[in-house]
Amino acid sequence: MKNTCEKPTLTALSFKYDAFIDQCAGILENRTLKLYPGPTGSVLFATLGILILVLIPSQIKVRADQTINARTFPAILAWIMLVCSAFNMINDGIRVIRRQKLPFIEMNLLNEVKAMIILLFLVIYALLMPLAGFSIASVVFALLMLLYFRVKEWKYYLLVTVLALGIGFLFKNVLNVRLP
Amino acid sequence: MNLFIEGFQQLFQISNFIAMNIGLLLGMIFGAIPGLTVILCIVLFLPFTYSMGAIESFMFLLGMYCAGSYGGSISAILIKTPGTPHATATMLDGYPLSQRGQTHKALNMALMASTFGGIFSAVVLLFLAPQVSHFAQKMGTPEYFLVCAFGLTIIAGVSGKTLTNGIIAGALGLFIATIGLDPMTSNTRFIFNNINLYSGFDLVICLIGLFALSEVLNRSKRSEKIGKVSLHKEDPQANRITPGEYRKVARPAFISSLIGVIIGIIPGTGASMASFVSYDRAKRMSKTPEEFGKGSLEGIAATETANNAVTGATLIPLLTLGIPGDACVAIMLGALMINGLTPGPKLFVDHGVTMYAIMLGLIFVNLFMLLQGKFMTRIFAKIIKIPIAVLTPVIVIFCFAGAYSVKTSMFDIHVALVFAVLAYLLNKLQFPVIPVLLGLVLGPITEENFRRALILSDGSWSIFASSPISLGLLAIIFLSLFVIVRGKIQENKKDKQHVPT
Repeated sequence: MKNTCEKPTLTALSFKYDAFIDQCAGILENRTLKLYPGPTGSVLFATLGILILVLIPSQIKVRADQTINARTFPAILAWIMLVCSAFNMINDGIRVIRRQKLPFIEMNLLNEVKAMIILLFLVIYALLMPLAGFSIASVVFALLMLLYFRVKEWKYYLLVTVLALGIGFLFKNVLNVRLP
Repeated sequence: MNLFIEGFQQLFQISNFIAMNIGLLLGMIFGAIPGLTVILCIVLFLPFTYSMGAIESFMFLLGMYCAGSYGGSISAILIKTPGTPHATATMLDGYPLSQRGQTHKALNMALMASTFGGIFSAVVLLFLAPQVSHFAQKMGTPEYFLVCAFGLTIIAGVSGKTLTNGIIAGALGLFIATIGLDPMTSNTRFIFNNINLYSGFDLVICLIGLFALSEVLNRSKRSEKIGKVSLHKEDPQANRITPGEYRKVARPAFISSLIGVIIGIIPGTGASMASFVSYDRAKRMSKTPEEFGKGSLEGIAATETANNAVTGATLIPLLTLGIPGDACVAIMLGALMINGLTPGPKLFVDHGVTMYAIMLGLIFVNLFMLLQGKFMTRIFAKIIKIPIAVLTPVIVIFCFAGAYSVKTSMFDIHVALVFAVLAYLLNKLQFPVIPVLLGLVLGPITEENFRRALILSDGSWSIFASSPISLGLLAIIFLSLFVIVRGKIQENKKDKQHVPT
């Protein structure tokens, strides 16, 4: 009797969860973001190059009598980034002057939100590990991921739980790693 | 000859063969499941090599590398979804043959051809590597820096959409490798008073972030539906490869092996190129070209011999010069370094016995691959049905445990997450990740040789053009750059022609 009462409740909950996810996905599905990878990448790496050059004096201490020292190689790399970024920017600039379209990509908002959610799960897992221990954190994370992927079959929940505990056992007892 | 015999003795230890077979099993599983990659497999299990010796760990990784190359063909033949990019060419004929009720024949041919290609390249490696190493020993620090620069340039050139993006990505990898203590002066660099950064970023942690966790982030947007697997209810007699069929495929298999070896030696080219070039060559040479694309055994044999012939060939520049031919081999280079074997021209001088054991081991890796493939294909056919959604959390748990095990530090897990986000962003901005990996791997030796050469010449850059070998290497670098730039220009022109006005 108890089982027959529980089953419809669980199914109803599952339907509600699915409907909620579908509703959220429906809102984001057709929304896109335009990204110009060329100029964005050039600006980012030019900034990184400048940042490296600015940080070198404070972050790498060297003796004054050495001309070839620990700063030489990172400085060259920073200049390589700057020169290549500048080259890309000039190329993009020429395209704009010639009124040619800059290549862009349309990012689907739903996909990006999905990736962010996975990243959030990863961060939660990393934060939970020192608090709850490796095994519990891993099981929680694995079950959370299956729920997120809307896996319906209970045997997969059992499988990932066993695998999560098995991996912990393997690292602790076979590789002698002291996991949190 | 002594090295050869001693290498044989070192190889023949039960632990090496156990590691080899576990590696093969894992490689075949990861290669067979669409969505899982051989790189991912190697990255995930790299922490396990920490407790192994040099030969044992290399057998373990080579097992994954070779079996992964074959494993891709299993799903290509069974469900028309190549497990690896280079198995796409195998799919062209493997799947139609499977649809005609000859799945076993297709799988057997792929296995036989893979084994032949693998053994062929292992033999070439065994005879060619010592010769290349002998020549490489004549190189000094400036020449060795130029070899590193060549490896980085060619990978940067072929990986990215533009050469400049590839160079920026390579520079980023080299820069990340500089963080921590300077190996020459012990000065700290970019550590921001963080004690965790003193020894820099561990290669394994970076790899877990760049290739495994980033893949999990990318996976969130894909929905891989697995087709129906049809391996049963076939007439065993109709599925045997006849002697006549073996004779028919012998010539394309041999030629494809040669193509695979030649392409494999050139850094940055890879198995996909070898597969398609061989497929095209086999089709042109075939007496029955009309069968190609409809289930031709010659097509399967050509592609599979070629992509497995690459495996041994990529080890030639790796073991002799320290230049990895592809991303998987770059990670193996990391495994060598973990075991205290510094890659480069002196590797054969300092660790000749180990090198011979590794090269001989590659032959056995291929033989055991044949055995495992022969008896375990049915199991692999079931494994590929496991949804990727179920495997994803397991991969992440492996990543976190692996990252933590390096220094038993939570900091490393956080670093791996940062690298995952970095790879995700680089992917969005169309910067290739492979040159970052190569920069990370080659960073320390590139910088050391660069600085030593400049110190020797009192800061004069002319040292990089002071010997015939240097001049030859410079010529190769400029020639490669010219070919890459010309290729990119032609690609752009083609793209423009295809853009509708």
